[in-house]
Amino acid sequence: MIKRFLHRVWNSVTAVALAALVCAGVLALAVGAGALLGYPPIHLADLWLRGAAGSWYALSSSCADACPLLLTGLAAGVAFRAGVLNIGAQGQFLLGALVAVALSTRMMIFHQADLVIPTALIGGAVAGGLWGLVAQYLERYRSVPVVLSTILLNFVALYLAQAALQGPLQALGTAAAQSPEVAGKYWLPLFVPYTDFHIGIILALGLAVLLWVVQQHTTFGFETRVVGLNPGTAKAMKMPVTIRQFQIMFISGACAGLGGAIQLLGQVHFMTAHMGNYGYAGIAVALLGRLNPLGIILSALFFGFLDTGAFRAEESSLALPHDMANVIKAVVILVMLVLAGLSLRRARRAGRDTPMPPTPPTQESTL
Amino acid sequence: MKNPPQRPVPVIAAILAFCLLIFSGAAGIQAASIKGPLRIAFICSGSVTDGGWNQQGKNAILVVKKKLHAHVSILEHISPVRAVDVMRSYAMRGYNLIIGHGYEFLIPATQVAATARKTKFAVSGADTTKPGVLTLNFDLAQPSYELGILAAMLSKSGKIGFIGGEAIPSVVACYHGFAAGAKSVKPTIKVAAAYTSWDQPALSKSQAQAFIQQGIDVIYQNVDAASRGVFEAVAQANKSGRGPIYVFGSNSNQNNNPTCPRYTPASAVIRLDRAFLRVAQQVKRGTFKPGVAPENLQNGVCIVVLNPKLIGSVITPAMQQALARARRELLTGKLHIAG
Repeated sequence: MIKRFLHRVWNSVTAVALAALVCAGVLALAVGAGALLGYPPIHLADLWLRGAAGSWYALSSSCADACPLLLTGLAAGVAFRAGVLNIGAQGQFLLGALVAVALSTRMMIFHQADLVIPTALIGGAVAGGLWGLVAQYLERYRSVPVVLSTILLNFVALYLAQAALQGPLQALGTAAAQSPEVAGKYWLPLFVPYTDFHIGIILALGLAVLLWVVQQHTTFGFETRVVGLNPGTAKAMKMPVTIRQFQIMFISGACAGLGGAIQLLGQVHFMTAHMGNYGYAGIAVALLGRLNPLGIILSALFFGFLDTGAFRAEESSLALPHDMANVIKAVVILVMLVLAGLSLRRARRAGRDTPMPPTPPTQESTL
Repeated sequence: MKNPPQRPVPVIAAILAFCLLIFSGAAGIQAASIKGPLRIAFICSGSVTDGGWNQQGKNAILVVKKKLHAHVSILEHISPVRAVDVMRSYAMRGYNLIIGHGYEFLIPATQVAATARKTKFAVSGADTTKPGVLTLNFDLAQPSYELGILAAMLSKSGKIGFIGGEAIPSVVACYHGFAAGAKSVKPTIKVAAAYTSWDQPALSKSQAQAFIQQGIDVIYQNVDAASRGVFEAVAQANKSGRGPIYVFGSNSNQNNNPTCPRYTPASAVIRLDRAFLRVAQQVKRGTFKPGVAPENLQNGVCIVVLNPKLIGSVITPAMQQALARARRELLTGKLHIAG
């Protein structure tokens, strides 16, 4: 018992040490890359860090950027963990935003913010979920792989959004393919005034924790993980594999759809077909977070900080070119992935070395 | 049987905690002083090397920089999602003028303008306005009318074509102007229209080839960065002896394009530098006023530029006279093209 406790403590200590090393490495990398590109490296690193978290406003900006990434990351993470390869978070995100903009600019229920905001958020989530179910249906009953159909459905969603924004959802008095602005009273409230800290961020964090609890501590979560690891075994254990896959696809799509709705009501307040590539970025977020909802929170924050800092470096007096900023971001993310992979291998090896008491398989097993 | 523990969460948590620890010492972004030269931010949604709309905008803002000795910051690849954050950041740092290059920046500019009183906001390419924002509404329908006249006089087959990047009203207006100009010279002329893409030269090339196959011998393209495909199709057709096939440029002066300059007699040009310079001067003098600024033939921003190397050989004096007459009528209001 004591040995296991000491082992855990040792693991935590080494994890923190490794994290410190990674951070030092990331900083050194940014500084080194800046030097190679001919930019004053210390100044560049300073700008990047200040831009990401140097003030309350910068912090809120980073967190607001992380919010949609967290939700699309959850969409990918939850689905991948259950073996459902949903690459369609981008389309589900767009559909969620589209339904939210329709519900908040065209069909405002009783014109009451108390009703319009929840309706738009729920509507966005349901739209994303249903869009995901289309792909699952095609796989189950028409043998179309989910990977393929979700990618194709992303394009369908994009063109659907374009058609809607040039049709029934187009703003009056303009030829531009964009929706009208959502009225201020239907925006998500801020919990810190004059920043970008909107309640959608809290909602997203709450959802991530809820998904972690469901995944780790419920029969449903256990079954979805077994289905993801080995559908054959799940079937042999008489688990409802098909139903679980449909449920997970709906949850995954709903996360992405909610992301679109929150982004619309919390951050952008109008819609064009160019709402960012959050759906695709969510896959990288989920992988860096090791498909664990809590890991995805941290991973999304990391991406948000990196992204916001990059913009501040670009618009600064240094005028770091956008492509160079992207190269630095990509290298940093790659390094993070490699180090996270190494730490996982280390943890696995450590786990193998730890003597385990003989216990029968239970639902609490880590899969 | 428990599987080996996975510990990504503590690792990433510790990384973020460490980062936050470092960041927490950093001070907030300081608002810079407005004194000194004009500070202008230029924001666009694509690449400033796209050879089209965004590059043209960047070149125009560099002209302003040179003429007014202004400090200019250029930010590319900004989606509407990011625009509010970026504009607010510029405003907080004391920029005097923020130009959003494209209609998609109108609502973000309005949102930031509501709180950033000292910064002025202009959006190019939009057709409506919002409180606190100046909209530059470019009208290419009038120059397109002139190009229609030229096309009808150049065409031997009696068939001309228009290729647009997208069937949005500002582009469709170009087609209508082009067709009206052509029919004013030859009422029986056939004017085909197709809409392909802004950034896929292969698509616009195949469309131009299809037009040439149908006997069309003058093409007016408004496809921005995809124009290279149209120029290639025209160059190949002329090389293979199908010609002469002519092509018109749009938005920027494409008469000296590297692919087929000898077959590009004219372009409908938006002189962005002129529009941006005027706005920047207004900000400097304190005469800037939000609203819609029509940018057209009348104020010399949207004009036809003839290829000087083809004047006399391809562009005859009769054509020049016809163009001059049409321009006079457009300028005096005798002739009105619906934009």
